[in-house]
Amino acid sequence: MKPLLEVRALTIDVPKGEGWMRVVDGVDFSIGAGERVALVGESGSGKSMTARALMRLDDALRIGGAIRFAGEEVLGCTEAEMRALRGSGIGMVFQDPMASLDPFMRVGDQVAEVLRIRGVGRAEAHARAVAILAELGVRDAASRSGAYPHEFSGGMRQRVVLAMALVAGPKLLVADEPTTALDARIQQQVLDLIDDAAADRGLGVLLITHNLGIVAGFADRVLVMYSGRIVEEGPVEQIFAAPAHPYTRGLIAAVPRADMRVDRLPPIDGAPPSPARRPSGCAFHPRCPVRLPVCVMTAPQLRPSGGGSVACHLAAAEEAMA
Amino acid sequence: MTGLAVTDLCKSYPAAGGGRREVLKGVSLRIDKGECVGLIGESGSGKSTLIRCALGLEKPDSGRVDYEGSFVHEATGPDLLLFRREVQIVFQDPFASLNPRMTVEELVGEGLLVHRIEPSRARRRACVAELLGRVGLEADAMHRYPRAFSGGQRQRIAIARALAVSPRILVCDEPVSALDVSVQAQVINLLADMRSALGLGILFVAHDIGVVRYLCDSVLVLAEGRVVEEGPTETVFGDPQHDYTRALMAAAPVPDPAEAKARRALRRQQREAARGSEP
Repeated sequence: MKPLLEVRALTIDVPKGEGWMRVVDGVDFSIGAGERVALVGESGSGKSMTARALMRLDDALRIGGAIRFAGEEVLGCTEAEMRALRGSGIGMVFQDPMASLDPFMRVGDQVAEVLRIRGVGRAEAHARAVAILAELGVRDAASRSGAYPHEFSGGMRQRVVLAMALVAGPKLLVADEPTTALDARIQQQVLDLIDDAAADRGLGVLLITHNLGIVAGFADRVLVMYSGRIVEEGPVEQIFAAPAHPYTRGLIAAVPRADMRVDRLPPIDGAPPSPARRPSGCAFHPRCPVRLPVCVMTAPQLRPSGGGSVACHLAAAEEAMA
Repeated sequence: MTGLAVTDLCKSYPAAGGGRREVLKGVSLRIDKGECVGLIGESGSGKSTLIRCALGLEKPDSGRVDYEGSFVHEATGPDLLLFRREVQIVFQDPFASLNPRMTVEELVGEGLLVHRIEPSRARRRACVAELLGRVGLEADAMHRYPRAFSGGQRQRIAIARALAVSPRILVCDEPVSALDVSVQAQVINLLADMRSALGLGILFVAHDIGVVRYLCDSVLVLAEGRVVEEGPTETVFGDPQHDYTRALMAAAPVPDPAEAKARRALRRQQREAARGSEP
């Protein structure tokens, strides 16, 4: 069976001065129908750029490679075809709900508008907007759909944004740091909402986050991105139980645990590199506690490892020995 | 009496629809030198108001704040200066808290100048170099501006700036929540080191239970302007008594797929049961 979304050799360049700067450098992944995939990375890793490229939200980006959604080549779509794809094919939720909402428009109208521009009549669009707001836990949705965004709390706004993303019946939901600015309890509620909505509709989900902690309970598969490349990919159980890349190991060890006492929290030294100054060879080598001489010279390729794959010279050497 | 003590603090603000909204309803806490106290609270719990009152930036309706035996809100002259010097703060967002037009040398050395600790420019520069080394930055960082640094490095600069005037108490308001996970641990460990090396008292305000459990000796849980639970960190989080503390613990992400998925399935069952029971 063909996957729902297939990304091959994706490169993204952003304009910089006279030329271009590469922020995503050859990324491959796919998402099956109904599958939950987490894309984990730090600031500057290219994870949000990848999400924006899927929807072609940014005309200023130069995108290379292939993005196939439901068999169709996204990069070959006209702008009119893209408008149809956004919303009915791929729905998207961003970190800051206030930035996705029009402060001068009633929330019900904002959800209904997604349907109106697809030719749905006013009354039906409004009824469907109210129904989906109610499903997403907005109480008294009929009356509260007349409220403005500023009258809603952060968690409630995120529900409105989720309603907008889902109302046109997409097959894939892309959620870019949907819970980062929220308190833990609201964060869990929003993730549970996405969980229910995705399960009820059989949606595929791409969850983009810097926090490995929230991934464990949500994702089927994890992609770990570092400095524009995927450095490890695998089933969530394997990523947590037997991470093969030193960066993945470091990320897992660096999460302070609420449920047990930890004596030492080992940090990852240094800082994530800016795309403008990507290190030679393996981009992680300056921060890597187990780097080999070869890591400074050549970038490792992603190779199969267990049920997933990893791009690490040491992991490859250890596998060859075993 | 040593350290910073907040006693029975109440604070209210005018509410939108008339009347007043009580933000703090009788909060007490105490930080002794060398001790690290965690304060857990969600947005709206009153933690920011508590910090502003404890730093003397805002006058409470009732209750008091003492530092070294004197009332902070009545302090004037040398007492107030001493308080301003010995109690320092590190803010959440190092992109907003550091003046972008000042060099790192000016930022870190400002307190030494303002408090007339080191009027000589050459000696100030030597102090700044030493402070930068202490927080893990190269001395030549002092010639650059904040924009040249990553989030974690900026937070180190903010810590060096606070440490410059030899404080006794450091109030940290969500100091790592804007940082990448890989860098969070660096800053937390730096705070832990500074505390043991300098005997600093730390009030560590956060919403992340994991960070507080790792760093703090004792913890207070603030909800709707009241402390609902307090005690040694391991007692509180090892066996939480208050429902609110339990709810916060249950909502904290668990980095263990089997456990996290079991919890998720349980929550889903509960939601479905709740849905089914609705009329």
